[in-house]
Amino acid sequence: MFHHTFAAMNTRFSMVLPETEARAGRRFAREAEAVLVEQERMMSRFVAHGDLATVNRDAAGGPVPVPDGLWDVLQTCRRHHELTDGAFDIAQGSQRGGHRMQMVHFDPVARTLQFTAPGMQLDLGGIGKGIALDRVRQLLLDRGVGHAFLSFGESSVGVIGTHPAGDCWPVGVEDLFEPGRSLHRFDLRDSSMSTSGNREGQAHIVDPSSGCLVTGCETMTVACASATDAEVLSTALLVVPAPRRAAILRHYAGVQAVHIVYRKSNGRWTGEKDWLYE
Amino acid sequence: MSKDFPPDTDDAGDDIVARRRFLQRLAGVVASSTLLSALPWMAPLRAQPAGRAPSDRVRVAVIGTGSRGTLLLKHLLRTPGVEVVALCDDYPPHLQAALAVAGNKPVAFTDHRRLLDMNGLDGVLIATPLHEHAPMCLDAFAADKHVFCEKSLALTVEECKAVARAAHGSRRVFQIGHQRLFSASFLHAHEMVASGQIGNITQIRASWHRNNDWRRPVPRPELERKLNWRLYRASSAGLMAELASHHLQIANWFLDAAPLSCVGYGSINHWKDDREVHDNVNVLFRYRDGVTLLYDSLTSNRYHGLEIQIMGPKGTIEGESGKVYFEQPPPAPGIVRLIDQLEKSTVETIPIGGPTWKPDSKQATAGQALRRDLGGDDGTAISMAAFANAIRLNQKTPQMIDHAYRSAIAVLMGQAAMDQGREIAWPGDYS
Repeated sequence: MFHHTFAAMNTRFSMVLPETEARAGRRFAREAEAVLVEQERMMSRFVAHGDLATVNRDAAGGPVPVPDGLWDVLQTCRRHHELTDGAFDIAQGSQRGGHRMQMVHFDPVARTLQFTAPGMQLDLGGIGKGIALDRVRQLLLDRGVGHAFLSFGESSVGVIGTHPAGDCWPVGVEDLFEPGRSLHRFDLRDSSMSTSGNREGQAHIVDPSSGCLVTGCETMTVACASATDAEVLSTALLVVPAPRRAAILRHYAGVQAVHIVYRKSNGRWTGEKDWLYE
Repeated sequence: MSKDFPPDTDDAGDDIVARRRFLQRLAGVVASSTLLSALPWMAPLRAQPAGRAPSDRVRVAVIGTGSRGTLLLKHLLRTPGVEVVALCDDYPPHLQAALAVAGNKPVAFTDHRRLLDMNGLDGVLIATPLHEHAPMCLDAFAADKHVFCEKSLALTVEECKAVARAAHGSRRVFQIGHQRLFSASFLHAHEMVASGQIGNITQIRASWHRNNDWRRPVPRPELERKLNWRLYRASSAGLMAELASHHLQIANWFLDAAPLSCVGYGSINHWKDDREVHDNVNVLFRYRDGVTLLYDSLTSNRYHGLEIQIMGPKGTIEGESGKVYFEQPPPAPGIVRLIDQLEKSTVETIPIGGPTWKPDSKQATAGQALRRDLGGDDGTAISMAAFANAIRLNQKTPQMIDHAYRSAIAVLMGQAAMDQGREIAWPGDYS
């Protein structure tokens, strides 16, 4: 067995390869680290001369050329914006609400983009780890790895094959207030799981329809084939009311999801499944 | 060592029975630890504490009974197998107070040369002002006594060389008062560095900031230079000797080297009262392979307090607060559980998932604790036991001379760099 945990994209990445020798594992880990460094340079708002940071800096002043890798990422984001009926939106701006990604003008022939409203920024925080995780999983598949458990900051999980002693990787959605206890189980095989939400007192997810932060201690966990899709959906399903969720999920195949809401009574937090989609 | 070191619930500090029990257990730990056994100054501690027979006893005297000397005396009085037979000081109030601490049993002297003539004396502990260290050490070695000298070793490079040569040439034990050599957390930190857990050291940063006046009240004006010896260049090397020397010693120990050169700036910018030593020192030492030590000390602000940070590509050790911070994060508990079940070939649900884990900022991070110092002892109590055992065994620890010499020379390099405004090179070994 080989396992390795390292810092990446302002969180930690763990790879557990149960049937990989240490020597090969170390090589894969080095390659994975290089992939993540490159992905971060492309997608982070905070890498000064990175691709996204350059776009964010210049796109208000006119069309800016977008490198191929970032272009593909942004087209993926546009597709999810449409499939989620605007619930997934990477554009942030000074203006509140109203599907801001539509204020980004893409020119597919020139491969440029331009912000059409002042004060806009693109933020890939709701999809970037999923994209990067899919890249690392593909790297390991290309290297012939048959069994793997990958965790990116614990909010995104990707697996290859099954647990060597079972017929799947049984993954539990952990209780935020009782570490080690699982509130729901997904049986993953060659697939992914992503969780979005707030811990107690946190609020960092924006509802694009209102521009307001999602408050309340709750989490949305989505399991499906692609880590990218799982991450998009865990954010999008969290910000829409329950009746709209099924409509969004009609555009996606093979998705399971669970919404957990935490409530406090007598000084104790308890998490309960509030909505389940299988 | 980290997990085996005796727990500090067994108080190393208070009474002689507790200290005997503690030293008995420490002996077993040192004997069974490869890393501790590899440090020669720990070797005397492998011997069980002495019994109560007169032949087991070592007879020592304390020269200099000011604040530090009295602290050493208190430790000696609780160290098994030690008899404090004499005290020496040329300032009567200090001598009388120390005699009272020792139950008026030791013989009192005002001249250390008279004390050295005393029959049956095995060794001396020297805790006098810095300018007196060298002549007293040389006299003690000439009298064939074992010597414990408080840091820093001596006031000038020539004196440091002379004392180190005398210690080297003597058949008796020499020990320097750098108690961090016996501190549980620094020993643990050294083990972590030696086993590569933070990678090769690339930089050390250390500082000791206080907001206090070094000036002591003086009953009569003619006692000014005697009691306020720290403030005058004829008797003191200021902050470099009194505070920096501890961290210079740690740096030399952990890097297993002496500094190649030093630059620095110093000033008196706050306590402008005709003192001659800086109240603000800033020095930068260069070691081999481009490794550096940055040190600064103040007596006009205590915000940054006392700390030494030992840094490598894999982590940072904060020696004074006893913490280690790794550059790479630990795996999540759910991943640890998964690894465990894979090793046992069992399948259980892997609890994971939640808002993304974020690395702790330096301010918020708790780090991982090193072994704590024992019963509040910063190494001084253990160092007294080591000195007593070394005398009993007549077992020299040559590395002690190097620790004393290297840190004392580094002190003087720093002071010279600030005084002369130029880079000061290592002045060579003592031999």
